[in-house]
Amino acid sequence: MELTGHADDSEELAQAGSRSLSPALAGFLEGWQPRQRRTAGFQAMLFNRLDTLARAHPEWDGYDLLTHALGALHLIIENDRLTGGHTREQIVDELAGLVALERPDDGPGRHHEIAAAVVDLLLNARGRHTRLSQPYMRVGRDGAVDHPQLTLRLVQTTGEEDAATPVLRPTPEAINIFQNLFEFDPSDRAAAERYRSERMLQRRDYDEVLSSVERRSTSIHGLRADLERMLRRISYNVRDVDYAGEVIPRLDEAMSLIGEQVDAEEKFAATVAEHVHDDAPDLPRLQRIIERLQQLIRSLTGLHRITASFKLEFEAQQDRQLFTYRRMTISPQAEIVEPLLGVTPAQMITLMEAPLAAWMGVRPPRVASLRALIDRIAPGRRDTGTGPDADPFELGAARDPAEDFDPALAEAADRILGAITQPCSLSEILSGLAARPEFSEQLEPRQQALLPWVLAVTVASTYGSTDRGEPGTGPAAPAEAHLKVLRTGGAFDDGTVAGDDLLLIPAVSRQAAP
Amino acid sequence: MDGIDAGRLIAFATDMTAAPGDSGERAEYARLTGKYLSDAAFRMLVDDILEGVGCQVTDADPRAGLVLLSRPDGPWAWPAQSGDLPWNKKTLTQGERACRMLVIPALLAYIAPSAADFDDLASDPALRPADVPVRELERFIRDFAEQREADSSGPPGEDPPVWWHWLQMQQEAPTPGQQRSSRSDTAYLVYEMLEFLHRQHLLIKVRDAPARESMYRPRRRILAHYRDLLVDDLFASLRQFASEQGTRLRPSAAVDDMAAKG
Repeated sequence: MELTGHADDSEELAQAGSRSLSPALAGFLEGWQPRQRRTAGFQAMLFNRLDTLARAHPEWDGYDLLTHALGALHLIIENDRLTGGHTREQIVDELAGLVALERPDDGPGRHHEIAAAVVDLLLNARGRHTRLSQPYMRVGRDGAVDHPQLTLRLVQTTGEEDAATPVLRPTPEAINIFQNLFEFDPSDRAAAERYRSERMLQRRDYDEVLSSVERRSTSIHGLRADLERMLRRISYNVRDVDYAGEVIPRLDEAMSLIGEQVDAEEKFAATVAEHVHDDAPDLPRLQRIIERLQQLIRSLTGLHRITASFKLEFEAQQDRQLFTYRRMTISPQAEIVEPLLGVTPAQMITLMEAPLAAWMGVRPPRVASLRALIDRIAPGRRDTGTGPDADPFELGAARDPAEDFDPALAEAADRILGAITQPCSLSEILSGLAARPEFSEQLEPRQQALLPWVLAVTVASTYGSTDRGEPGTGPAAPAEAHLKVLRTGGAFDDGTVAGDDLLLIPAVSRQAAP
Repeated sequence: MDGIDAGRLIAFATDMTAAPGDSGERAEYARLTGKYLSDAAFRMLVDDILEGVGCQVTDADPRAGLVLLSRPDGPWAWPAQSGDLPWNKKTLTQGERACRMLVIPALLAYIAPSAADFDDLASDPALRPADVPVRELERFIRDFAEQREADSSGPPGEDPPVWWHWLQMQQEAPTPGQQRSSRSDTAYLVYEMLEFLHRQHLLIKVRDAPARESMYRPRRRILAHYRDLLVDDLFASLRQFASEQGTRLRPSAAVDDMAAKG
């Protein structure tokens, strides 16, 4: 699309062209679209026709027609430059060699047929060697849209009137397309923009100069994004990046490109500065151009700094990435979910139980808290509020009975403690166990080993306790309930139990018992 | 000072609710994460302490903080059979447990069906995974299950696979009087799982609505968790399982196997 006339202000165009067109799109129509549509249109015409050719010949499936078209263009350009041009037949014969290389098993007839078709496509032989054409959208200054034809000739036939066969010659557009496909580089575009700016500056078309500088600023965003992507990949997984083979060459290229651009922009800024003097026709605009140029130079030097930091970043990331990212090569949908749907529940649990617990990460470490324990086990507060009275028969949820000792062990401990008739210390009881096998002979070896510990805990739990339970309820009071336990102040350690030694004094009633 | 900082950083890393940010405690977490990334001596100190408790840092990012992976037998690991995990509740049947477990990998497949999708998300911190509505995720799983049902020949046999169990539950059970949502359908099951992940701060709840209309957004740290899981344990176990069963890991392999047994 191309603008006819010249809109002074993109907002004006936005209003004139379409009520809903944003200023950004209006700017696109004014500054970008005419040139981009032309370049893209030229390429599209070539590619569309190649596509049509491929569809018309399904038997050629497997041949890379685009490569052969570019090869033909290369031959035409090179032969024109070196030899003054080749005829169609010469180009076709030479190109057939490349086609044959791709699928040598097909016959030479087919190779020749394909080469000829490709060269004829460049010549638009089916269209009587006319220009290729394509309608495109063009918006006028008043917002009116029309569709003129964009036309292109890639190869033309030239020669003397009396020459038997003409020779092929590429058009400037064909050379540009070919060249730009090879070297589509931000630095070239910037150079072209600068060239354009200089011309505009000479013509004192400062608006154009300003928009050109802005376009150059935009174009370096692409390079910046590239570099940042690479940096991100390094920080993502340093092993994933081929530092010597990929990063270094890319950095070298970027450094030289940025360096050249900085030099060129500085020179251009100096040229602009020459135009700045008191009687310059439009001093404010010139100053704005210089301001923008300085911004551009700052962006470029910032980019230079990023590039220079790569080595340091790479080394830092190498140090850091002790935990190396491993690139996923598994498709979660096809390789995880779908197979898992087919397993049985038991298999799923076997497969997933442990990995899913690990997947959850860590569980915050729990530290035992007496306060939390009390809160958890203490009875709830009585509701003394103004609400309805609580049901006195509601006992609440039943609690699990507390875990008790092994009954056999508890019974043995009870027998031992019940047999005490004279005050004695805990350490004496424990050391005397071996001499009284009758107390532990009914126990298994495992239980015998636990007996000292059970005794110690039972006695220790009686120490200081005044709670004898409610009379008349529950089972008979245990033997230790009739013992008074005092601290002796000493300590003991018999190898299985250690701690404060305790003195056990049997109560009077127990003493009186037979 | 490094010791104190290491302790604080580990406290943040073990607190699932903590996330680096711009102010207050969050800024402190961000500062400590930055220090971990830039100061080799500090990093070594933190790593050593963590190694002592059976953990390792699998991801450190100023936005997501530290992601820790524990050894299965480590003191900070979730016990595999912990009743706090929603798929381990004692009242559940095996089929119900398996269906709950399935939701975790299905959530991953929903936000990143292919390895390339996952890599995109994991490599670019600016990318945001898609929001996950409860109903959509349920539908996603149900579609696969129905596909399996359509592909299978004959009844599923005595020990039916997980897809069969999924389809046995209604997508959305009717709720008498609409007073309370029924808890016996797969949409509610998905909701329970996502809500649990939300409480674990692995998902953000973006729409606070009745159970089945809720919507969640995966936090970035869940991607790190998935990565640790999938590049390692789960897939290794799956592959081993498949080789033991004499099947190949492809979508229809298990179904074929079932059919052959049937």
